Amino acid sequence: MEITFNIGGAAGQGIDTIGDLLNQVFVQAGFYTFTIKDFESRIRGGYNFIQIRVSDKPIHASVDHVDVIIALSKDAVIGQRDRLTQGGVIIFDEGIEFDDLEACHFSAPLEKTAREVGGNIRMMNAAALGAVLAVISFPFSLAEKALTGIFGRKGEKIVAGNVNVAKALYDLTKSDFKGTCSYNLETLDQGPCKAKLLLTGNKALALGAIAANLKWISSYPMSPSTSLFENIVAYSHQLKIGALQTEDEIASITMAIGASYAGARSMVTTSGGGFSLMVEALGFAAMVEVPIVIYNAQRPGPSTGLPTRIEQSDLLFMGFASQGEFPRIMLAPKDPIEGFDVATRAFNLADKFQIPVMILGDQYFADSVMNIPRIDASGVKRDQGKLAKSGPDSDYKRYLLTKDGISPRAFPGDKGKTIVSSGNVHREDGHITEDSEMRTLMVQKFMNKIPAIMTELNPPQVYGEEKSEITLLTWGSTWGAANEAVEVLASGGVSINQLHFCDVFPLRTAKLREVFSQSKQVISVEQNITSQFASLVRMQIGLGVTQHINKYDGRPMTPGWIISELEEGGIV
Amino acid sequence: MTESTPVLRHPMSKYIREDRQPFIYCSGCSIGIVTGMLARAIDNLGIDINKTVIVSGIGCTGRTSGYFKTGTYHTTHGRAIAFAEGVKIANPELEVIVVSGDGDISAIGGNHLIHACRRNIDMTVICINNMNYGMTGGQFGPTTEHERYSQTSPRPYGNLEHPFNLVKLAASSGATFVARWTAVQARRATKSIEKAIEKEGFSFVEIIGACPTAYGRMNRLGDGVTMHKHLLEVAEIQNGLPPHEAELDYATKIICGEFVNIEKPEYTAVLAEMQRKAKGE
Repeated sequence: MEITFNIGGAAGQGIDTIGDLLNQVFVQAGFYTFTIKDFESRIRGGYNFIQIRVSDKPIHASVDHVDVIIALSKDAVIGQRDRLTQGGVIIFDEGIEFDDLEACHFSAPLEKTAREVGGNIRMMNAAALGAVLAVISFPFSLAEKALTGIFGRKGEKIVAGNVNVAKALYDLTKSDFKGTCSYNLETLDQGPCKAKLLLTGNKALALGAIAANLKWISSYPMSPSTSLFENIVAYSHQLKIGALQTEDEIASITMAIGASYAGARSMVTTSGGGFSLMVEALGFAAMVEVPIVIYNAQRPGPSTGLPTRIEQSDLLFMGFASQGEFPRIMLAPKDPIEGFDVATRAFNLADKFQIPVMILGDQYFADSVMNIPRIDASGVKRDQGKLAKSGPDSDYKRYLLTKDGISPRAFPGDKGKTIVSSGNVHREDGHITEDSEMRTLMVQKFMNKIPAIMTELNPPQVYGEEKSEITLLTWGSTWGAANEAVEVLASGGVSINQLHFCDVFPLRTAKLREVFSQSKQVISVEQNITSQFASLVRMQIGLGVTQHINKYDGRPMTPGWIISELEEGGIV
Repeated sequence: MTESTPVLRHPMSKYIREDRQPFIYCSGCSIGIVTGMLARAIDNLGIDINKTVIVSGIGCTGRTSGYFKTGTYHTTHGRAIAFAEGVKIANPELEVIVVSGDGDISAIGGNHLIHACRRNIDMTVICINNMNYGMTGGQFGPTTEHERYSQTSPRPYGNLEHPFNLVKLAASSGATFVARWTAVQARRATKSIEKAIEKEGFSFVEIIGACPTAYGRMNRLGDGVTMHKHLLEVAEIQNGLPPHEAELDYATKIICGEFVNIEKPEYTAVLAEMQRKAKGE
């Protein structure tokens, strides 16, 4: 079973709420769901939509077609009708006037029923749900169960109201809808999926950071990163996390470095423009070897670009940002499950190597919703790395030269230790120096950390047959679309696999060399125009991919799009 | 063999790193005097030096932190206050003191200054205002007076811009303690620094200093001694004057005193209270 819904309307009309309801209904009924949000950078009006894909098999990507459209505005019909599959249906409120009604259209009294049956126009969401479920003949008993679960906390009256409105529309649709829908889920049983936690990438990162004992977050609002900050703010007082909204991104990262220096696990969240402002302090954190985690939810740039849309174009910028040379780690989670893991690893890596660790997301990762199994946070390990022995030590040197480049950390206020730091080149005791020998030693100290970083990072993963003629090279959030494209093509007999990187910097090269020697074609698939990851690969191992697939319109990649690109390129 | 003469140690040397002496400052500079004021204030208050963090930015005054025998942090240009806010909120037990120059604090770091005043985080900011960028050779800054000369506002025209009055800026931005002194009023300034440290809230102390090497030379203000004598002559003490009347005119009148000392809920205390409430305590 697989079905895709599209709920569209103007900003502020409540498409998210309908989406949440529909999502919950299918999650409670035991199905896998994958939801993308496509919205304009405005508060009211415009045309926004969410796409919910439901399946009895795990899914990780959006698609180009739609089976059922719920339109709250005329634009929402026009924007999607060309994507409607044969046998699909478009449902809209009877208030929207259409002169070219087709058989697949269903003009429903959503608002009227909400008002008359539920006594509350807000229950229009339940009305829409009822209409959709009726069109696809989804058993109402399953919907009722889900609605009770969703609204249970709000009391019986609200539950009853919503169920009644949904049922009224359900029945009315059953009798009044004259068209046909190719989906009939009348005999649907509980699905196979047990995963009930609906999570976005940003929320997964927030939970991971909390599990990692985050104690400080300072940020300046910037789409699409903001929801991570908001999620932590919501729990900050309970969990004793310092959460401060700063005057700008320069203050965000500088305060976070200060807090980390004082001993708090610290992070900042931003998007590319904000990260641009943070760059000077990035080098500062590196110079003073204070651990810091930076989340950049990338967006199409340059400048303000497309604030609410998708691109992976900050990879090289982040990899080489700041004057000077120093080690840094960059992680690009593919989905919420990996997001949680990446967040917990990021803090450990930052502490262990006393370097900046950067997490790269994008709107697709940040806002897409998946239902995942409950996360067991008890398995999260917290590794603070090398700490100085407690107790007085008048000889303590914050930047003690060691073989692995890592000096034991102590914090201001620690009894009997003096911690001195400077953004200038410094001696082992932290005081400024211009001595050439010490400068050389301190640069080498930074770089001596790299071998251990390399062994600590995760290697890339191969998906599909280990040995294939064609390999798609991907990183970060494009994993899902490419993965499904590979599955579809491989099941059709094409020898194709996927080599995917989460830990993108510094680059682990062993598997890459292996794949380059095995596969006839290595094709990079990236959400940017210059194939930045492929450039990084060439820089590191001197081997170039055979073809590039690039998307830079700000819209998500779909499996279908990747396959058509491969076909157009004569590859499959 | 010469007889060894007993070396007289400076009474404040217990707080100052003798191994970093001599200071990098030019002769006639005020920064050494202000460093002494801070050391004496710490001494007079008897606060735990081990729990004191001194943060500075970049520039001549930015080098102050490195001379103190405690946790010191020499940050990037303009960011001393932002950094210090992070330190203070993450560990409110620490006494956090920022010492930096007028260029660092009110030009590149001006945004952090006004917002820290507004937030009212318990810390003390000592701004040594020598009216120009000294470290880089004497360019005009946000405190350089109109038509004064500098490397970037040369003769015959001088500075096209107008200066900030930092007392007014800090007061109107919400600082709970605001004072101004000149470098020659060491005793009174030290007392204000003590009050500022003790104040549970954001305190701003401006010390008008002399930069004879750059600003003084370009504006023909005389050597260090002459400039400091002048500061004494034009300083006019007006404790309790409404801050918006605290005028500063280098040539004729520098109003000095304590202008703001108000009570306002302090950030880290409010935060601790929120956290207690959230835990249901």
